[in-house]
Amino acid sequence: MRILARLLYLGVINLGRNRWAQFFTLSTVAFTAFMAGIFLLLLYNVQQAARSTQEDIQFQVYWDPAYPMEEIREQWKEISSWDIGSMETFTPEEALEDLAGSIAGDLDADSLAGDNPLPATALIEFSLQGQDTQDRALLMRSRLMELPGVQRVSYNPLQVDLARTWVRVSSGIFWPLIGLMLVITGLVVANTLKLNQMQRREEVEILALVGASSSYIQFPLLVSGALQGLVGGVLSLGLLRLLHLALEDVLYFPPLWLKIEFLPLSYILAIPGVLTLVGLLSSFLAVNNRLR
Amino acid sequence: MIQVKHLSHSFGRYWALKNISFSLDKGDFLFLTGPSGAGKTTLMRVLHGSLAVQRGVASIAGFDLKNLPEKRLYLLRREVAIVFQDFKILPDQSVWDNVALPLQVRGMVSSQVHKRVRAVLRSLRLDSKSRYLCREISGGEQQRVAVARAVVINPKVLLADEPTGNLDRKLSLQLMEVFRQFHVHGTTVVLATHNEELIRSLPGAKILCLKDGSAVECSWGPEGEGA
Repeated sequence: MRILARLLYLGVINLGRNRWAQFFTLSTVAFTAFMAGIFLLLLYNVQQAARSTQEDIQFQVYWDPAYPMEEIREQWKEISSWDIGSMETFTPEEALEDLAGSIAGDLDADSLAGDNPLPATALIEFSLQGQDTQDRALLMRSRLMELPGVQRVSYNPLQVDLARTWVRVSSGIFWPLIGLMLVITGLVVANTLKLNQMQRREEVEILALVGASSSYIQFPLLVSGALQGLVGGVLSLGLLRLLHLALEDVLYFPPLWLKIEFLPLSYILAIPGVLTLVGLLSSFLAVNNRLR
Repeated sequence: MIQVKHLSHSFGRYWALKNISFSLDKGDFLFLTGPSGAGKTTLMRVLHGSLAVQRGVASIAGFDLKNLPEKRLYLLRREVAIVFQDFKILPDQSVWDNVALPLQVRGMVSSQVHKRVRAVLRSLRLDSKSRYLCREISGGEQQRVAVARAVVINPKVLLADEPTGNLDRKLSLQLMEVFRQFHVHGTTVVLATHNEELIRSLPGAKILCLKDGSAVECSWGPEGEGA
């Protein structure tokens, strides 16, 4: 236990040695991870945009104006029990009121109240995530058309195509890019940390010569490497958060209305976690062949 | 304590050691001598486990070097200490820290470390330099730090590769006295040197002369006996 505590202490103390070298190493790790973080933030927001597009498929359902309103209300209840995102309904009166509101002043709703030309309608949002989106959209359309009294169901097939394209972008580009970015960041960070640890090869050699076991030699180095990875990761997250705060609303204007979201907790934890592992591995490799 | 039979070692096509055999008992003193490139350092490194036994057999302090796994090498080095010609000390650490290092890696409690380091530094006249960084002291003092670090563990076998190479005559003889004291107290000592005066200073010691990697008869007629 005493030895373990001493080895941990040595690992932390090692970071205080050769401060300029440690500073440059930490800066390289933090900025490399920061660059990777920007890339990750960009991809994450693209994916979020893709998802929201998929969720926005809308069906507009129009009922025959002669069909009894009581029956239509029953159908609305039934539709709302289906697996849909949301539903907004309009009786002919509500539709007229809404129309009058949207063209304020140019339409006298009261004059049309006795002879309202608008049918009962429903605006249904339907989530189309996953496979076979076009088929599922058609299926939903025919299901709605089969309801008694429904006169017309409209939706935009292009929107389905767009959603499908986003799905392809997500699965075909997002993850391979994340993987590539991880590999590049891992290589740069690992090499930087490895070079930093290699300057201590002479010390490692001497420790081996005076009878230190492999674990005695490697443990403090692994602790230093892991700490450098962890601190570098946390610093990069701090920089990324500052950047996010500065750019959060930069795309929040018409017609985009895109608010840049920060990374979710799993990603936030993964960045220092992965860097800690890379630090451990590179420290292990840096001195492993010097132990004889 | 040391058994070497038909030991050969090559670096590529160059044979640095050719068919070397000798044996030493507990408390023996062996001078390893010969011109530069004779194979003295290679033999030292094989005996310390830094180089593998390629051909032949070698055992030291109860460790069979041919079959000693790399993971257990540290156990050998807790019994067999070595002093290198180029010191191999940590220049940015103090004299005290360098000498205490072998005891700390064994997990010895600090009060004992303190006691032993102080005694060894005093015997090698380094006590006044204990707080100096090793890069701040002279070459001769650095050499003595390397010796202090080796002897502080009371090793069963002490290997010393040209330990007086950087010292003047007076310091060389003083250092030789330190080695002799360990030899008297039962430590087996193998000392590589060119210095005939040192060899003649210990008449009872064994001598192994090397030339081009082979054991040869000593040409300068020392008064010691062959190994």
